Amino acid sequence: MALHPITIDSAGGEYMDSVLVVDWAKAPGDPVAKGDLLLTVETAKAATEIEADRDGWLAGIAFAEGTEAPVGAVLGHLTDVEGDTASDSPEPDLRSEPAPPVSAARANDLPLARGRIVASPLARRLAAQKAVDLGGVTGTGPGGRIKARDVDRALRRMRAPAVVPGGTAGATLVLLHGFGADKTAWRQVRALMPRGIRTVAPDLPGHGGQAATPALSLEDIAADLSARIEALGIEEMHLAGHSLGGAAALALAASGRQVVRSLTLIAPAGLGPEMNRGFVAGLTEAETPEALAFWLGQMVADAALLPVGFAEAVLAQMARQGTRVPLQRMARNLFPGGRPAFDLTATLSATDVPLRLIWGREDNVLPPALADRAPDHAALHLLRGVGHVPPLEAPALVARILGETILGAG
Amino acid sequence: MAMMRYAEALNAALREEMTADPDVFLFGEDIGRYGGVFKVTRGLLEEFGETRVRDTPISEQAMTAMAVTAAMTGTRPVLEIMYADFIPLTLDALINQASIYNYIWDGQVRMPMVLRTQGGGGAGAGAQHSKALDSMLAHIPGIKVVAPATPADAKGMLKAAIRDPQPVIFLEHKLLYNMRGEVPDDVEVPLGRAVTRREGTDVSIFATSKMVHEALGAADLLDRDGVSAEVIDLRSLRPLDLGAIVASVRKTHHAVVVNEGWQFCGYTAELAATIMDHAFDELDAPVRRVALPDMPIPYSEPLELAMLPSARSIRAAVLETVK
Repeated sequence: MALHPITIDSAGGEYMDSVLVVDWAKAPGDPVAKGDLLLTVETAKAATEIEADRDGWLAGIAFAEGTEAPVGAVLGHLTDVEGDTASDSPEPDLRSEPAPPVSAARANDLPLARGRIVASPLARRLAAQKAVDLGGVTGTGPGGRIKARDVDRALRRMRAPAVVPGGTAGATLVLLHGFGADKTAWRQVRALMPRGIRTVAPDLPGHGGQAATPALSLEDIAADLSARIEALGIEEMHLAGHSLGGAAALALAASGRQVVRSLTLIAPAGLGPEMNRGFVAGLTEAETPEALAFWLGQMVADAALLPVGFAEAVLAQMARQGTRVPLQRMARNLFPGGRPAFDLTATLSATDVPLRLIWGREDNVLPPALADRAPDHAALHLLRGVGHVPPLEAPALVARILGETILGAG
Repeated sequence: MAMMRYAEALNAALREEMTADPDVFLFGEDIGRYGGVFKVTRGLLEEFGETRVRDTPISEQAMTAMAVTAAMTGTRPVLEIMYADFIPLTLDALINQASIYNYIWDGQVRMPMVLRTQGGGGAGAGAQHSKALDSMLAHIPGIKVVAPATPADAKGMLKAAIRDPQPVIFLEHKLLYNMRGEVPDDVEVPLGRAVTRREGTDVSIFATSKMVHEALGAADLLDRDGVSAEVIDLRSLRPLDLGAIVASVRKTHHAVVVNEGWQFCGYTAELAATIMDHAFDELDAPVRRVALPDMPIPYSEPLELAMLPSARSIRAAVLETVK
């Protein structure tokens, strides 16, 4: 199969979460020449035309016109083989729902854009402060606008105990990103999570917005996260973590400070010494886009998946957030000699909550063989064609597994 | 404390300031022998004489230029323009002289002039004698524009306007002259300060002059709708009391802005934009405007009343805003 993903990267707009697919210029099966206009998407700033980067045929469309796609999502595929339209399996938009009914005739009351979340400025501010995902809030204002009262209602519902055993309503999922990343690593997964699950993605100490407060041991990371989660009023949660975040999730669950209802570890560190030893140092010491691109390429099964300019964007972000020095300190302490300083195998075996592991079969950073150290009650998903970063490489699948885990654990 | 009409309060302010300061003098059409069309200057000619209370021909452009020159040369002229509808005739003197001389002569010239006028509809005075051109005046940097809504403010603000070193446009309303109210004997009202006429929690209504009373009427109606409206009397259109505006929006998160002028490019547009500039994240709904539709004001009274912002139309706008 020779399918090539069509994506839009985030390098052009760092505050951009999603794009609106406005118009597909080609239909599945249409021949495409390099440079042809494929589709037009609308970002917060402007309409952007996405052109074909090769000759071929349009194989399939994953996000139809009028739908919203998270930045970095695969919008569709090109194929080298004529007639290869059936082999494309678009990622389902789990959040797709009918547009709200247009009840009033005033232009002011009409939804501002299809697919866009329409909320008042106050509602947006409150939601950001209280970590409420507006995607899960039903607006009762004109044209379905989310008002402050709707955010208040959603907050009250979140704080109320789950009423449906086994249901996902009111569930909170805390997502912990990996070393060197930040909370935006979960952007696509969060956008694809089933409705009704509140997602919270804190930055790890020393990462993203927490650059000023690095933590030098796994226990300190867990304690810091636990305190911040508690400050959000979360007493009970489902927990998922990727790589170092997986180790942190496990340590956090073991600390017992919060009730953890399920634990999903994605390529977690700490199940043994086997590791790509140059990786952590390489990631924090690379100062040129070329040097960094090599290590970023190690993270994924298909380096072509990384958006053009990704390494430059990561370097710029490190500079802006001031994370390089804290990351280097954390790397030296948490991964001395390029190996994890902690062994969580026994902790993992002692875990008594529903437990799942997700691992890419093509993981070049932490080999999937480490999953053998998980206890027998853990479920294991081994993803084909996926490297060390399933949340980036297979966001829809990760969201689906997380959703099913939460549904099953209740 | 005395109970007096709005026109009487203005008369008292003029009398007190003319008594206290011999440089204060009045001129305008029919303000002397006739006592003013709305009787604001009644009795002042008899009391202060023809030198300080002067009747002029119909010549708004020349009258305003004369006020500029008089202010520049050390007196404190108070000019009456009988109808705000004829403000356009004064604009050259305001825009190209009064508002900029202090600037272009590097502060060597002061411009302590007051231009009193009255506007607004509801009296069946037709398309040429009913307009509120507030936004045309408030558009000009370098002058103050105020519009009192009560007899106490009328007196306190006119005294402050006469003492002010800058040009002040003093906007009165023909339907307020007969309004009665308590006026403290030594009332003083600084320019540029808004006042809360009624406290509320659900929506802030911002207005000036007669529209304050319409807003208060709307607030009464809204009480029965279960909506608690706060009414802010801005009193001064320029400078704006930004602190009072933001504080109220922070409290209610909903704003309705009212002005008796035309809506397009009007004063409500400035208020709405100001609120979004300074309190965007406090807003739970778009700011809604209540102003005059883009039409001449009809002579027919039923049509005129249907067109003017009223307690009922403000109530309707509020209900749209808080829903």
